[in-house]
Amino acid sequence: MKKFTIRIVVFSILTFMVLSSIVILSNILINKDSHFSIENKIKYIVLGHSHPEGAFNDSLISNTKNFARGGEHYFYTYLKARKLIESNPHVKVIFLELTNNQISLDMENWINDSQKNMVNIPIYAPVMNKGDHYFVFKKNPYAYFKSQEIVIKKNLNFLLYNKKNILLQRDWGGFYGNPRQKVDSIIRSNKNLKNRNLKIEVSNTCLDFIDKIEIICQKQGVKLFLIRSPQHSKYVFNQNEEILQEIIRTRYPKLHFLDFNNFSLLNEEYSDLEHLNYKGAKKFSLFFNTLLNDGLIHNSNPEQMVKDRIINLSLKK
Amino acid sequence: MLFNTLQYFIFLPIVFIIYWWVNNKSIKLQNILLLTASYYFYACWDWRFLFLLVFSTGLDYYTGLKMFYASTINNKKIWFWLSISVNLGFLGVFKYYNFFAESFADFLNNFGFQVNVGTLEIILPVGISFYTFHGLSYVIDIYKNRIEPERNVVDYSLFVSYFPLLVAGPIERATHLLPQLKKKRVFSYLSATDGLRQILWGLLKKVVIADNCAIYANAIFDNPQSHSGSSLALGAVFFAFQIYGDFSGYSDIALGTSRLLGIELLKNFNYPYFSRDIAEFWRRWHISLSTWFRDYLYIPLGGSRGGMWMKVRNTLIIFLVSGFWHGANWTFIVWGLLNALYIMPSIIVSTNRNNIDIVAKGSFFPSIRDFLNIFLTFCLTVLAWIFFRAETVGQALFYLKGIFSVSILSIPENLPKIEILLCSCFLLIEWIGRENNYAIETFGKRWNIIFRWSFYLFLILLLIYFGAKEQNFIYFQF
Repeated sequence: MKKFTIRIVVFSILTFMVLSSIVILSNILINKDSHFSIENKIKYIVLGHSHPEGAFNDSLISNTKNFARGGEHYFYTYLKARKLIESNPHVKVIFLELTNNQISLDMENWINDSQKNMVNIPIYAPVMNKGDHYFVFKKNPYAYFKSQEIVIKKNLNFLLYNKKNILLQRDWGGFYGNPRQKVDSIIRSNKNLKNRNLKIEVSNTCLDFIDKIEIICQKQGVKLFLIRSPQHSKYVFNQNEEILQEIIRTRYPKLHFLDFNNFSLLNEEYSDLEHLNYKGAKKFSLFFNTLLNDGLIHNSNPEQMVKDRIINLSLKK
Repeated sequence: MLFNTLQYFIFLPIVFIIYWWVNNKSIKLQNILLLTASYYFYACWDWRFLFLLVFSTGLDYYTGLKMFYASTINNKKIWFWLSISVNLGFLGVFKYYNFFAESFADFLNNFGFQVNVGTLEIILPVGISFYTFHGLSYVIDIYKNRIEPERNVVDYSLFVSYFPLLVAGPIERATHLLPQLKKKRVFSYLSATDGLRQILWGLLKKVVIADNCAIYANAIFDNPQSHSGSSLALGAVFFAFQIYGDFSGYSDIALGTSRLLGIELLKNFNYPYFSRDIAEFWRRWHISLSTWFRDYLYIPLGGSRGGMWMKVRNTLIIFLVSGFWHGANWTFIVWGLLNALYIMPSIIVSTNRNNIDIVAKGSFFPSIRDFLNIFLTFCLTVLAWIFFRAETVGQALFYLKGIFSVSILSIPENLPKIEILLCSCFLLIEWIGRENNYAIETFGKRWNIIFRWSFYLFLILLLIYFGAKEQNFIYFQF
């Protein structure tokens, strides 16, 4: 029994060490800037969750790449921003979504949930540093260990098949042209209007990672804009609007907040109350492109410029 | 809790450590621990059905004692039939009620009677077919005076609920397992390391072979109309590998786990795809079920005594019942019937026991005759698996029609090269190791520890690298 126990323990430690080495080495090998490079012409990057993912059709917006990804916690957005800025010095501006549901305490589930972590950790493992690993491990040790199996598989696949760019292999986000248009039926059934009662309490974890994104942007000389993608007027989760405005005023006084919440769209241009469909995305993206071409980035009061343009657009109608 | 999950690999070491720690204290304590672990293992799936398992166990334990001490034959018979009826009743309600109700309604509808028969919205308790058969064999053996009833309720409960075999077998016999539970288990280094090796091999079969084959097989079976004949044929072959890897992999993990605990379970698979005829296949596939049907159905029905007609009838019955045991669907019945038809010629001309020994024993290459026989048997088996896998008999026939079309001569679209390579390597290893209890039983045993451990590490890496998404074991649904 003693011999068996000793051998099992030694073999388990050895296996753990070999597997850990594979994870660490493969992560280091992949974490090269060349694997995360995007076209030199890209100057603007869009980040955030499913709202900007469905709103910014980057094929219609010049020099812009949408890296927003549905269901993504700010922690993962931070990892993405950090790596993209570091590997692509030609990126000058980041548009980061900050909307009502993203500051809710419920967003903590997006970093605690096993399923979400098991999807996200393998995607971002190569760009995580020690502190990042510790952070996700602390949040959900089970999911962390379980996801390493997928990390090994994905990393070895990448290295063995000599893939050039990891952004193509892993889902780092991008525009999603949703074909759905369910607003009318949602309003008729009144179902979703009641179901979206998220917690009013603010998630400090989320805000901490926005702070971190702000810091890395400052360090790298990248301009950071907070944006709010269009939402339907019947969108229910706006009970925390005052809190959101307060946070923007007090916590991010140096940042511009571009609010497209009132951008005028028809019901058929929404996928549901919080997401645009491909029609809405087209309309909004063309509008946004015009703003960029008209000097939104360098405008001294971009908030006002957005407001004015939205009002003008409504008046034209 | 599945054998191929992280939970199980936390659960097993904990049980292992406590189990051997209490070994010197008492067997009773050891068995209580195993029983508690087994009930916990089962409750992880659905604790509500634990009551059913405990009730079924209690009933058989009690009726066993009552039968043994019955003052008259009639009393004995009453207890015997009570136990049989309740056991089969549970199986009937949970597994077959909806099938019979729907089939009855369909039958009446054919004659113009519109009948709405109520169906039950219940899930099938996992392992019910297996633990019911444990109980049945125990009760029948007592009734036939083959064994005495077990007086210790913990030992009997453990015989029924022992976690390595609880949800998908092997179907144990009281004469084999109970004596092992009653005597002191002695830890054996060789047996324990052998158990771990068997678990590793079982996991590879399940995770690398079965789960990867499942992806291709599912894609083909879910959408047969959009595939060529060659793809359909390949899909069926992949399903054959899937079900073998899945079920024999499960059995290897069960046997290996049990070996770690010092308990030997019945062998369930013996390289069935190297069989030279269907009779040999059925001596090598799900052995514990085949022998169960032989001992508790075929022989009581008269077996091969009483002339050719009896032999044919009894063979037909056990294959039909075996098919039906697998699931409440006509596809399983047709699968059973098809196997009966396959085996019938050899039963009639009494060649069913021609191939008893290991194929090409002692040599690497089989004779041409053996090779052709193996190939033909495999093809027949694959054709039968189509019915096993299909949702309906109609779908299976459509699938078969697709295979036997001109497009069988084309190259399959989206040829899964990696999976073909994996299956080929797997087949080769199984062929090389076919004289062992499991393929890698003796592989590398005499190597230096560094090479041997490197080999195990390599297998673990294969598990991770080729590991597809965790999938349930197919036989859990039976």
